[in-house]
Amino acid sequence: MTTTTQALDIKHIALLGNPNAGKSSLFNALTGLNQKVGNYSGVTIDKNTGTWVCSDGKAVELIDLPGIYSLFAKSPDERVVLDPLFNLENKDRPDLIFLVLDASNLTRSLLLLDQIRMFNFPIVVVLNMLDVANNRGVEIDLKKLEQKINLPFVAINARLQTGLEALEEAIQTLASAKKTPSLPVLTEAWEQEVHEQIPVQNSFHAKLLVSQAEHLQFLSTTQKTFLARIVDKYQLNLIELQTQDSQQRLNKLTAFTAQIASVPKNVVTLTERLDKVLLHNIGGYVIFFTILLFVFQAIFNLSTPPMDWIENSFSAVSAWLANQLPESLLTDLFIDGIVAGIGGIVIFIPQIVILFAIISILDETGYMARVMFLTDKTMSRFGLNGKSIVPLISGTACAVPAIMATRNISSWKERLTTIMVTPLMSCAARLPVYIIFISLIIPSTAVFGPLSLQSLVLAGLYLGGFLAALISGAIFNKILPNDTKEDRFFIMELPSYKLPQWKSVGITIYQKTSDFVWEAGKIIIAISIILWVLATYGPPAAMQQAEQEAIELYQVQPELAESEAALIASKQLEASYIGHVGHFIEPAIRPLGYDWKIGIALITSFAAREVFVSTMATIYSVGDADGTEGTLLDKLRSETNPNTGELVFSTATSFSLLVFYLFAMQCMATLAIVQRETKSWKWPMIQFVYMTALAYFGALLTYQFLS
Amino acid sequence: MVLTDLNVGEKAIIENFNNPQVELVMTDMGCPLGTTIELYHKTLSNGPISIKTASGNLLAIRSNEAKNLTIRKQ
Repeated sequence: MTTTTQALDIKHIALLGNPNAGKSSLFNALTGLNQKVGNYSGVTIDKNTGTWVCSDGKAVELIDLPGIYSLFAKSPDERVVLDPLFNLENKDRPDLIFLVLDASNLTRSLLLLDQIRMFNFPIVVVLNMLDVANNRGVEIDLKKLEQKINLPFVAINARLQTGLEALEEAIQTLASAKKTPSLPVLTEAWEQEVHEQIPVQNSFHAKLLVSQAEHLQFLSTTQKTFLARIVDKYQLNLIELQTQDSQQRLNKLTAFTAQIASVPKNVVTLTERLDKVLLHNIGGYVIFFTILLFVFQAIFNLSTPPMDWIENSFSAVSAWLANQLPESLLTDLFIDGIVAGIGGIVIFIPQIVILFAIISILDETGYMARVMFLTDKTMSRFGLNGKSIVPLISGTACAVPAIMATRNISSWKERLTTIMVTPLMSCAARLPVYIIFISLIIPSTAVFGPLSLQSLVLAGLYLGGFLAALISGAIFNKILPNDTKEDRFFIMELPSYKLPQWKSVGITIYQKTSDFVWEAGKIIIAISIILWVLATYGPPAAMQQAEQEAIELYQVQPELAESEAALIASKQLEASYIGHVGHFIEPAIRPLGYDWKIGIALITSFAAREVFVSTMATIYSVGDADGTEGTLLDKLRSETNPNTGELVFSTATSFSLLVFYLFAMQCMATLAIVQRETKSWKWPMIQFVYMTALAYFGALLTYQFLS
Repeated sequence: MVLTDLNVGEKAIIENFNNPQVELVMTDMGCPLGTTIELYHKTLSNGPISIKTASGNLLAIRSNEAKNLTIRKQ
């Protein structure tokens, strides 16, 4: 005698439910950290899968499908749900569906259940959010509900993690629940005609097929043309078809709910009281800006100690490795290419962790939806969307996770605009560059109380980036073609306020950070290695000549460098391939006030902008005639042009560099992510060209005006 | 009368969305034709407005769409 679980053999369970129904809380409660993020085939939408280990030790794979209101999908992330349901070959096809019902929105969540029942999947109905329903004064007769829906039924509280054991029991009772498909019930002539070519089980399937045809990957081109012909032949109004279907179901379900649940009482909920303050026409914005200030304060101040620690650790490790490993090219590659590359990624982890901690807390509490609501008007004037606020704020830490955060913007045009302008927000990598030049040229005098002139200039740069993003957004809005099918709607739910769940916050931080480390990491390391090669090798004759010259020069003027080797390195850098590139682009950057050394630093910045500082440190570690010691700042301050004797880093050049770094697209990792998200090289190319042009002409004007 | 004419706290029945796309989205979000809604909040300078549906959940919609939505005040 075998147990029923074995009889049904459940390996894959899909979680399905409305957004904010507590589906992800349930997923987190069942799987904990046994989660991984992948991609659905063909689309760059995160697929969260996890392993649920039942009390008998059996492991089941759970897949957390995107939250949807209806199977009539309207955006790419909603459409992801359709393939596992329809396509028999889909590897995510579930053996069982956990359908999460939101007790506080019973009728609406029953709509999804009603649709899912049109497919022959075993279903366990999971009722969540009973506490929220009770707060609204809604009492639900659970016995009657279970009886009426006639499916295995479990009431849980996903946030408090109660009732989860009952889920396992429910699965045990499932063995007999598998039904054989009955004969198709088709009402309309066009549905019959569809069925003759593509077998369907009921008219709901037929409606889904015709209305979603162009997005269903498992349909062949012939099948799609066939469905398009049906639409033409019967003059089907697809939108109306879907609306009517949902409307009919809702009518039936409203009557159903009336029998099992009481109507909401007229109580003022905590959410309504909080909204009086947080959405207040003046107070709401004041609170938002206060929170924003706090976010920036946290990103910059809280992250300083760990970032310093990481930086020091990496230089200690490099120094230690340089001592331990035999002196060879391979060692150099390892230390200057790979270790430095890894350091360039790890340094951003503190800021990304802090940023996503704050963002996911704001999101969990339900406040982020209010921010989108409050800022939508301002954003839409610039071709963006209330939902663009999260990518723009994230962009002040790093554009890579920020661009990945645009996925929930359903309008393609507004999403693309957000992607195109987000890198203009001053990211963490620009900060070291800003700081070095601000300390170089701006006196640290106080202007308004504790505010110094330096911090005002810094704030001005961040504001400049934000304004540039808005203005570019407005321009892209004019140029880009309008959305055709997916109209630019902004219809969203404002979820009720709740306390954040620390487990989900932790999981989000972990996922976003590892996403950044792996996605941006591999690109930054690859570029670091390429740059190391270009800076180490050059035309052999020139490299040898450079070495000879350096040795001779050191004998005459030993005060030129710390050691003979350092002078050789400097001369060889000039003779290397990258030095050639620096000289090659010098005519182009001369009008901006830059010499070939800055040119090299601009190029190396493509791996990551903060490399500018370390490159400058390498290049200017020698050639400093009056002293061997001193900080980079001192060296930059005293650097003179050997031909003219003028200071290299004059006010004009320094401001020009600040403007250049503010606008320039100098991040391969971002370009690669944009390519991945837009599935085309066209957009990252356009982004590169327009931002570089903005940087070049901005810097040109700055330099010409100031010099 | 259209949705934007409503004052905060007033209730109305949705008579016509006058935009099939919006109608489909709102219907699937549990707010079909004929539902009674309450105006919950209006943001500054014609920004989005939010409404409370019969079951007590809150939906936000841009004024552009809301001003086409005809209602019967209750």
